[in-house]
Amino acid sequence: MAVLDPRSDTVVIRVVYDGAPMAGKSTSVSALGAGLGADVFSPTEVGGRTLYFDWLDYTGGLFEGRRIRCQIISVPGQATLAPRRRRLLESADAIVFVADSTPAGLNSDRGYLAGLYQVMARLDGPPVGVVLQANKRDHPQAVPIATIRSLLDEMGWRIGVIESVATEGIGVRETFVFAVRLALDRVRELMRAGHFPTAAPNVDTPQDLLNELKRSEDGSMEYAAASGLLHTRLSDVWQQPIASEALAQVVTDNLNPAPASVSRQTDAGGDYLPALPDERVASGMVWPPVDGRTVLHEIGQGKIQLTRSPEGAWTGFVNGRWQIHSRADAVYEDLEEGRSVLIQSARALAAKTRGRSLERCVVLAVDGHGKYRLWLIVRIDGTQQ
Amino acid sequence: MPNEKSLLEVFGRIEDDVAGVIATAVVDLESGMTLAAKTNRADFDLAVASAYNSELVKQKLKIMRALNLKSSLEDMLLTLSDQFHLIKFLPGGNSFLYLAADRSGTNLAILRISVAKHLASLS
Repeated sequence: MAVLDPRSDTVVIRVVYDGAPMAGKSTSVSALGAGLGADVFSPTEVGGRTLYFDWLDYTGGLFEGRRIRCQIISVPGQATLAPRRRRLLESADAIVFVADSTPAGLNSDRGYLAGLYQVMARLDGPPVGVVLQANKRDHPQAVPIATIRSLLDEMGWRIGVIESVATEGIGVRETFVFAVRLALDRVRELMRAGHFPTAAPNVDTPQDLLNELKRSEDGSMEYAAASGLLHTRLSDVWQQPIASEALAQVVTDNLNPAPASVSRQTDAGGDYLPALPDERVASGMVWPPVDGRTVLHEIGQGKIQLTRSPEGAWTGFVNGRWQIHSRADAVYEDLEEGRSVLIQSARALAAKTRGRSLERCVVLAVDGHGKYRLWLIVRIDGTQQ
Repeated sequence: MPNEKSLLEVFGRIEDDVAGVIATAVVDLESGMTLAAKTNRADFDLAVASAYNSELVKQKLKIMRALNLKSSLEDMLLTLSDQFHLIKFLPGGNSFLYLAADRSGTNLAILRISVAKHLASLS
């Protein structure tokens, strides 16, 4: 839905908060609103449950010299409101999936992630970036982050993971800013393809969104909301015909998560050690733009051991999941020269990986010594190191 | 990247050292979005200041590239008739601290020392 609004000369993007009921979506949006000094609007709530959406409007930051207006929306999590949830997800430029880190919550997360994955797979245009906000990390039985990553791996989904305790506002803002970056990567792709419209947004206020949702529904959702509030999680309504559309989204997998280490370290034992890229590289410096930044987010959190070959190339492995490589001569004094090579590499990679899932990315990053270095990052299985 | 809560604690410690702090934020250089923000004056729009200062920093980095300078940008000091504005990069160079202070309440030396000391505690 990203547009350039000519009335205010702002780039309007939408960040949608998704997740299972009680995972912390509304809490996250409220915490974000408190931190940003903006009010959250919730059209209808019953017993603390969101029936339509939470809405937070925030203008901040700059993109290509223009202010960024963020429409921050959370979906209703109840399984009976799945069509409403899907409609909101389809309008997103970036999605924050709020996951419940408790063992019971993770079971619900699995179904909702599968549903989200299916919605994403049907969307046209540049990919919508997704970041998983692993919430309730303060819970005594919170599952390890590696377990959550394994769940994503089993789904073949490459998304960033950020830990949070939404009730205390920890990790919420960081997740949001990361989501904004993903949305801006998408905007850049839309601009490049000539598909970034200049127009007032169709939905400008929470009332507009409420009206739009009501128009698109024939009243059945009202009935579902009224009759299905007791069935709040997908597992609760597994046998209920009323949630047939929700059930259609669900893919059930039996996952066997495996632990992995997550601390960052670089050491090559030499006098020159290039700085490693992470998810904060500038837009236009990573390809693919949205998924690549997600890969970088994971790389940035992992443990990396760089080694230098006799020829001067740098290679490292991250948690047995990724190989990062830079040729000896892939270093550039001039940014534009580096970008030109990045574009060539991206073209070659695009031709090679056409139609297949993302397993690699290229990135141009500062090397910490006043130059720019081009890195290729490739997904490996744990036996390839 | 330290979380918002720890950044706000750092802002508090800086304010303990420096009189006249108007507002402080840690800003994502790429998007200009604040990762943590605290203002002591309702009429000081920190979101706007942070956004446009990110543009200022980007322009300065462009200038350095145009001049083929190989050094890194550590901080930027702006002196207004009644305010000091200090911009200091956080480790990694992708975000920066932006602080505005009342010029009559402090001096640049105290400001720089305090910010450097407390930002070091984050790494």
